[in-house]
Amino acid sequence: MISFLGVYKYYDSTPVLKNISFKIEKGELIFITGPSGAGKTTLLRLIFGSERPDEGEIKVGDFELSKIRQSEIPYLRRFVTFVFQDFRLRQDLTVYENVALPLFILGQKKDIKQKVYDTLKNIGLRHRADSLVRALSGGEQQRVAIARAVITNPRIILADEPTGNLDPDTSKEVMTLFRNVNAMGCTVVIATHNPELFQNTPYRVIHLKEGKFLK
Amino acid sequence: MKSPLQSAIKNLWLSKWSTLMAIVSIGVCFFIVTAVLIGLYNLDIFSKKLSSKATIVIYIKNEIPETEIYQFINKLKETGFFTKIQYVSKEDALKEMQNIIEPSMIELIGYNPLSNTVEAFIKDEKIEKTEEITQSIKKSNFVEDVYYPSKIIYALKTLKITLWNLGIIIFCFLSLAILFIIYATVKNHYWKKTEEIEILKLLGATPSYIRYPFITEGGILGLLGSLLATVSIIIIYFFLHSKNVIEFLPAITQLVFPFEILYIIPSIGLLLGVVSSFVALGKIKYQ
Repeated sequence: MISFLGVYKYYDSTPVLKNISFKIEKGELIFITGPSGAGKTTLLRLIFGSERPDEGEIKVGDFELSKIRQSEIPYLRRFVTFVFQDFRLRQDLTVYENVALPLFILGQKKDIKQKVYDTLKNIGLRHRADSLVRALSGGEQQRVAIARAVITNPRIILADEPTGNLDPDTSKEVMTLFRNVNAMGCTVVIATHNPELFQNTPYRVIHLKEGKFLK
Repeated sequence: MKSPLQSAIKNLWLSKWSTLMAIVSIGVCFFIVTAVLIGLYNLDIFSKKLSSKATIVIYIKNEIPETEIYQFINKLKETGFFTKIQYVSKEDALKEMQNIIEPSMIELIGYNPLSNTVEAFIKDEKIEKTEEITQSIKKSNFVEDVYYPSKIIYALKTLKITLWNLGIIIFCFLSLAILFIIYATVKNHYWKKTEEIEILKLLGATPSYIRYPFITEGGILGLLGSLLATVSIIIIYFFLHSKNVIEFLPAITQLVFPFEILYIIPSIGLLLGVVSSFVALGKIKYQ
C-alpha cells in the first residue's frame, strides 16, 4: 500500500530524512514515533504529496510520489486523507457541513445526508450535527476531523499527533475511533511522540530519530 | 453547501462596498468604450454617405461624336466600379448654366465654352480605388480632363483612420482597466479565503472546483458593470430622442444606434470578467 525506498529529504541542505526504506501493508495500523524534529511530520507530508522526496522512491497505491504531477495530487488526496493536530476544520461551518464537504468536492449528490448522519453517529456526534464547529471542545473537533477524513472511504488515513491537544480520556476515545476505522479495512498511519498511545498494543511501531530509523 | 454561483454571490455580498465600487468603475469604463464605439459607427456611416455623393466628372474632348461617347459610357459601366453613370451634353450644361449666370454674359462669349461631360458615381466598396480609377480614365483618348473631389475624400479617409485608431487605443486602454479592476477585486477575495482554500486542497478539491466560485464572481462583476453601461447608454439615447431635445438639435435624429450593443457589450463584460478572474487566480499549487 505504501513503500519507501532509500528516501532522503532535505530542508535548506539539512537532511530531515536519511535513507528511509519501509513498507506498510494494506489494512495495517502503524505508529511512527520519535522526538520532536525526528522527521515524523515530514514523512507523513511525503505520503500526502505535500512534499517531494529529494532522493529515493515513494509509492502510495498506484501513485509514484517522486514523479507525481500537481494535477494528480487532488486524486491522491481522495485516496489518502489526513487528520491534523490542529483539526483544520472550517470554523464558520456546522459539524454537518464540515463532514459533508469532501462529498461535495467529489461531486456526490445522492445520500449525502444519510452518509453524514451515519458517520456522525459512529463517532458519537449525531446530536451536534447543526452546531458550529467553533462551539465544540477540542476532543469533539478532533472527532469531526476524523469523521471528515473517513466519510469518503479512503484507503489510507494519516494522522499527525491527533491527540496532541487532547486530555488523556479524550485521547483514548480518539484512538478507539482510529482502531474502528482500521477494523473496517482502512490503513491508518499515526505519527505521535506519546508512547501511551502504542504501548501494550499489537500494532507495528516505527521509531525515527534525527531522520533515521531506529528499529 | 452552496453552488459556485451561490458562493460567488455570497462573496460579493460580504464585501458589498468594494463590489459596488468595482461595478461602477467597470460601468464607467464600458460606458466610455460604448460611447466611442457608437461614435465611430456613426462616423463610418456618415463617411460612406459622403463618399457615395462623390462623383468623378469626366470632360470629353470636343471632337468626339456622341455615338462614341455612348460607347465610352458602356465601357465604363462594364468596369463595375460605378453605381450610376450619366451623360450631360454641352448643350444641356449650357441650359443649366443659363439658370445660374445672366444669359447676356454667355451671349457675350459668342460660343458654348462648355464640354460634354460624363458623371460617374463610384460604388461604396470601390471608393478606396478612386485615384486608380481616375488615372485609368485619364489615359483614354476621349478624355480631355477628369475631376474628382480628392481632397474631401482624402481628408475623410484620414479622419476615419485617425478616429478608428484613437477608438482602438481607448478600447484597449479601458479594457485593460476593466481587466485590472476585476483582477484586483477577485484577487482580494481570493486572499481573504486563503484558509478555506487550503482546507479544500487538503480534502482533494481539484483546481477547477476551487476556481469556479471566483471565476463566477469575475463574470458577475464584468456582466453587471457592462449592463450598467448599456442601460445608461439606452437611457441617454432615448433622452436625446425625446421631443424637447429634437426641437433644439434636429440633427440628433440622424444618430444611428446599433442595437447589437445590447448583447455585444454584456458579452464582452462577461468574457473580460471570466478571463481576468482566471488570470487573478493563477496556478493552483498543492502543498
